[in-house]
Amino acid sequence: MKINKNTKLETIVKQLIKVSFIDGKLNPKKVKEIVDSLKTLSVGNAIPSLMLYLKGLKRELAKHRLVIETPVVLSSSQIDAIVEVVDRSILVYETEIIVNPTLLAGFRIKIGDEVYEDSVKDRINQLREKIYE
Amino acid sequence: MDILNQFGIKPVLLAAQVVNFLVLLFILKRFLYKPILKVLKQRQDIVAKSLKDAEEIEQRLQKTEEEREKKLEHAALESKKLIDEATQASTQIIVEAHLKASGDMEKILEQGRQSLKLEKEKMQQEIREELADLVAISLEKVLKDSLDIQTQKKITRKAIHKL
Repeated sequence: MKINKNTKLETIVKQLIKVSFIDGKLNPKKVKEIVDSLKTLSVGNAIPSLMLYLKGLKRELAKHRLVIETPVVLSSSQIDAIVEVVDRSILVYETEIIVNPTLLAGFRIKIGDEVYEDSVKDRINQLREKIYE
Repeated sequence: MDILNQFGIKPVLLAAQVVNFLVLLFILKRFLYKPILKVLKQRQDIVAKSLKDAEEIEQRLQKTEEEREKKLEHAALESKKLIDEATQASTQIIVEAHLKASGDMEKILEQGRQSLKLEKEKMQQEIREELADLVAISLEKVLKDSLDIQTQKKITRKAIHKL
């Protein structure tokens, strides 16, 4: 019984997470509405469902959060170009820019579990791996 | 009769002496010869039995001696056989021990060779890794010092363009 109840709850929460995003953007108004409605449930249901919802929301945001690392400050056009390219395969909800001088030149982008790197540091690492072999 | 008288032989006395002689003969035969003969016979029997026993003992002795000889021969043969077998077994053991020792030695040598090979490969790998790290660190250091901001921007721009 408990397993069925949890499974049902998870399914509902998944749907709620899905509707929290409108056109690929997190809708704060919708999130507030969902949280308020979940709060109205009994304590036994409200706490686990809220926990599941927030965890799922974070996971979903992390999946679509683009992190760009470069050794130099990028122009907005350059950032837009990167976002545009990534957006073609994975929807980008949020973008973070990190200046990382250890990359020397080039950039590294991370979205969810995916990582793409084209930097001098990466080339050096590749060379190191080649020598290892 | 006159002749007898002339010789002083009295017939009555002669007859009495003959009778006496016969009586004595009878008594002697009855009471002396018979027991003596009996004793003699007994002694003869005993001697004969003793001789027979002695002969038998001699035969037995001879037989025992023959058996002893046979047993000794058999024991000698057995011991010879055992010695031969022991010699053969010891030779076999020595040969096997030699073979095993040779095998073990070859095995140890092979293990040593393998160990040396692995050690060499490990060392080469370690050298490669150290060299790779050294190259990477040197490159990083050189590039960090030599790359100016304009070059960094240029490379980054090119990388973005390639994306």
